[in-house]
Amino acid sequence: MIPGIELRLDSMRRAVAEVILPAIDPTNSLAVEQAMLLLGHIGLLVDQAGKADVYARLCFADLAKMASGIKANGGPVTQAAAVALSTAIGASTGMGDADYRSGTRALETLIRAADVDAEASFRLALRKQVLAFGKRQATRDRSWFAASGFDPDAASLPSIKTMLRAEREAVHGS
Amino acid sequence: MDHKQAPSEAWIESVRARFPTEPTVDAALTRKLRHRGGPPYVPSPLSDIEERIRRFIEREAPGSVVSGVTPLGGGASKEQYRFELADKGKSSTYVLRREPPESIVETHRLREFQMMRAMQGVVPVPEVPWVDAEGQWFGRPALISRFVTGVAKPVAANSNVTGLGTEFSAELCAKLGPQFVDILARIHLFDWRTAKLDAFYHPPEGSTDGVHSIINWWDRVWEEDSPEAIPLMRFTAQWLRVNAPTIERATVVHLDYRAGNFLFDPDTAEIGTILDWELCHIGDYHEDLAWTMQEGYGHYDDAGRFHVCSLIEQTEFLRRYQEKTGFEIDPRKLAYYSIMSAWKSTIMVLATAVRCIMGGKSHQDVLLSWIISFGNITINTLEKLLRKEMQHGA
Repeated sequence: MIPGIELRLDSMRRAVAEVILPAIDPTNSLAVEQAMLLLGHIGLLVDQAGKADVYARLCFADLAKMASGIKANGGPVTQAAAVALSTAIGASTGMGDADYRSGTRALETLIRAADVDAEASFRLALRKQVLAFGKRQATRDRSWFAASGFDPDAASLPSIKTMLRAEREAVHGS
Repeated sequence: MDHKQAPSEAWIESVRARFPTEPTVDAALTRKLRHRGGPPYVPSPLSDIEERIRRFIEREAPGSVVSGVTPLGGGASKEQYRFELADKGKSSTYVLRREPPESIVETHRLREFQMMRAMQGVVPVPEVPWVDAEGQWFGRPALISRFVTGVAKPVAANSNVTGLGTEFSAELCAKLGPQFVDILARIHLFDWRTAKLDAFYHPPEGSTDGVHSIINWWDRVWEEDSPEAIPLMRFTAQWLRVNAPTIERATVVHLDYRAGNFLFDPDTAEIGTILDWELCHIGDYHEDLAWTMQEGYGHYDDAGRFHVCSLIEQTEFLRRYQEKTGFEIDPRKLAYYSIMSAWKSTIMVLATAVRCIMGGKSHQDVLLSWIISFGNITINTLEKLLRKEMQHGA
């Protein structure tokens, strides 16, 4: 596929940096700020180009792995929500983003349900699992968006490529 | 399209009933929802803004002449226009701050107006002569303040948007850090009961009512705006409700007191004004301390010490604050409000900012889509803090 997405993004970056930005009235601080942001966004897109679908599918795979380990213990509200979670995960469409959203929605419903009629021991176990998954997802997302420059500990993060490789190995064991 | 993008009146009423909060907070959030199905943001021609200012000034300050209307950058929330107002040969500069159809935080202009007026003479704050709380004159709610000179960050300093990640030299930190603490102390020492603050809920002391009002406020925002479920956020809301501490001393809480929200003189390093009062409320001063001390706003030095807003080392920040206020700092409350702060920050960037972009509702959508990645830092902080609390058995 010629020209590739990265090549086109790089052309856009140069147009903004070398032609558009210098032509903006410097007293229009809003326009200057937004042109600078365009440059930043293009840089992020270059990092992420072609990897978004793989990334979403890996996030979902980790969610599914975590969900499969949940052994609900509680009343009918909790039990129904646990079944719904299992169903949502099992109904995977192969579209990582949509599957992930559907799975997290079902997990959130289970958390609400656990507050209604779950056994205390299950509530605690669920919280631990949610925290552990939250940690893994936040770490992945921090790598995914590291180029935005917000992370106070960016140096400790793997590159997107390294992160995706490690995630693939963790989820699929290869 | 999900139901939140064009909410029905029945859904709006159900959300209002489930999350009771302050009347003016409810009014701002309800207005947002009722307008959500409307058109996206379209920039107003400067001639339109100028005409609106002119008509407003004709009524409020007859004889004054408006000129030089220019859009201002900075800030992620409201549209801002600078303009000159000449009266009897004397010219002054003002700023019109107008709501876009939606923004990263939905707030009530009357609250901001009242609090900025109350703070005149207490801490450096721009004079605010006028408010159009219902948008009768400016098409959308707006307020007008005096323009204040100064910079939000050192000239040529590294920083991200809205002052996040600003780097200050050691010399500047030595000058700005103590002022930064002293002004926060003055905000908290302010006797708000003597001020005209009827747009605010006055929470009772010795009770958790005020804390639950804040939780309801932000839980409602999450419910209204979140584009996808984040299980950790639901768990956090539950944790906050169960562990809410009493407010023993109710103070003004600025709630966005950080680098980027004050201006200083680049020559003398004197803080000349505190900005962004829109999230103010009456609550627990620990809430402000925890917000300001958020990990994403500061940095760790080589010795592993945290520098609050990259301005002042944390131990010194707290020591000086305590010295200036005489208030007790309860580490348990600080831990609680640290979790609440990370939760609220996440709501702003991973719910409201995203929802705003989905509708194309603001002049700063490109900034909001950038700031979303800050949400991964706040979620990471949230997880760390919750895990620590759970280890302590909370």
